[in-house]
Amino acid sequence: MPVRVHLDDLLHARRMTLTELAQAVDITLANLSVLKTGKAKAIRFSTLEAICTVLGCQPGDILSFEGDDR
Amino acid sequence: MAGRNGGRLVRGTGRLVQVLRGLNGIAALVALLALLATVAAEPQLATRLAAKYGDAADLPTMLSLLRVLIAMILPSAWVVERLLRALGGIIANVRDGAPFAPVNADHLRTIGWMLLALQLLDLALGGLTYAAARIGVDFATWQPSLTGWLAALVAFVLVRVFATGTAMRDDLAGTV
Repeated sequence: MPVRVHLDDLLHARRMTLTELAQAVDITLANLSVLKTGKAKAIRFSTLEAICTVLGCQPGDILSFEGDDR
Repeated sequence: MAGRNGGRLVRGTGRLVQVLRGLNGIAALVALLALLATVAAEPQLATRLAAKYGDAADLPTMLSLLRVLIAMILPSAWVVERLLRALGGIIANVRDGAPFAPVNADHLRTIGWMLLALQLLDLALGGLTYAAARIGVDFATWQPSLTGWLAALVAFVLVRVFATGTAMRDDLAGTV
């Protein structure tokens, strides 16, 4: 998938677990797990905003696009 | 409150569909027996028709008309059975909490085709009514049913709505 989710790296850098993030952003652990493993089809702006607020980061820190090198 | 009433409505409709399927099956069986009876008891039937319409009446045509009319119940029963089975499928999915399952769009499409088939059978009945009037047989009156054609159209439009709704639900299922 060309769009990668870096939630794992961000959590690791902040010494935070997915369960703690789930509690902080009020999103179920199952849904955050779907996002973390890159299985999500879409992400709501409200989810992105909540995660950025808690982790103190920009949306670009969570998501990146890896296109083909041509 | 609305949810509870809705659940009751779905359960009630499910039971009604089962009853209607049973009655439809009985109607098909009775039609089949009646069709066989018109062959087995043809002399008696011809005598009764002659007594009612006179000796000059076109008895062979009348008997054929009667047989075609009874025979028409069999395909109608098959169409109704398929329609009710599809409706039962939708009801079962709604009861299981999965109304926007892709299979429900297929069920709805089947219902649309079966409603259309019923309308075509109704047209055939109209033709029989015309034929009966021409040979002077007492027969029920017939009028084309606009609502039936509309119901078939509505079902096909709903298939599109349903298919789109199902796709949207799938998208939503992967949204975090």
